[in-house]
Amino acid sequence: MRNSLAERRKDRGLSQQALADELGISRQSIISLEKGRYDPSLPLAFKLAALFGCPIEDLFTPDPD
Amino acid sequence: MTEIKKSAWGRMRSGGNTRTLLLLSFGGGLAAALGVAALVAAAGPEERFLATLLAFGFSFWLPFSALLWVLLVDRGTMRDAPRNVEDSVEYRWSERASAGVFRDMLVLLGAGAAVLSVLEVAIDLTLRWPLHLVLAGLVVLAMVDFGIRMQLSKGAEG
Repeated sequence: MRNSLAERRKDRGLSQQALADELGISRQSIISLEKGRYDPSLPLAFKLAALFGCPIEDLFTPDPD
Repeated sequence: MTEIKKSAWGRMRSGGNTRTLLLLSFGGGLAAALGVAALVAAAGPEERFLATLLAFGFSFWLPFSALLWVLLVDRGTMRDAPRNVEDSVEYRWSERASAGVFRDMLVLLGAGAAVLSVLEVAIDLTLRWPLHLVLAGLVVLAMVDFGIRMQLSKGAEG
């Protein structure tokens, strides 16, 4: 799954560690999320969407088949 | 609301500080280890009592201390410990590795049991391996398997 997490995080001036602390997850999770190698659970996706103030579908885009 | 100071080793669930936590963990671990070691040594030959007590006491000390620390620590007070572990990618790797180890053990033990029973009948083979060493070997194998699977997941998704 592709996502715009890295851009949105940088726009807000957050470091990966700061975002990880905000969400209560590891920094490695943020790294994997931004690389698109880790698809978050639905609760985590909602938390991210709430944090960036946007709908989930704006944050995550399914890979084309 | 006062901010709780976090530390690498955390603080006690009951509110004790890190020093108390470590003292209780290592002290209690030593006491428990010596207790078990004394039981083992008492069951063995009298002339080897002290050597057995020291060997088993030393071997059990750290595992018992680690167990006590796990039981006593409040992980919310540990620096670098994520609040929502289940949302972290490492949790997913760990779950996947655990499932993989379980499958590997089923295959290994099942195939091993089948092969050994056939060999026993076919060539009258009787193995006399110490059971405790076989079990310890299986534990080590499972841990190595887990570590390799975690590294593979990290390489693929890290």
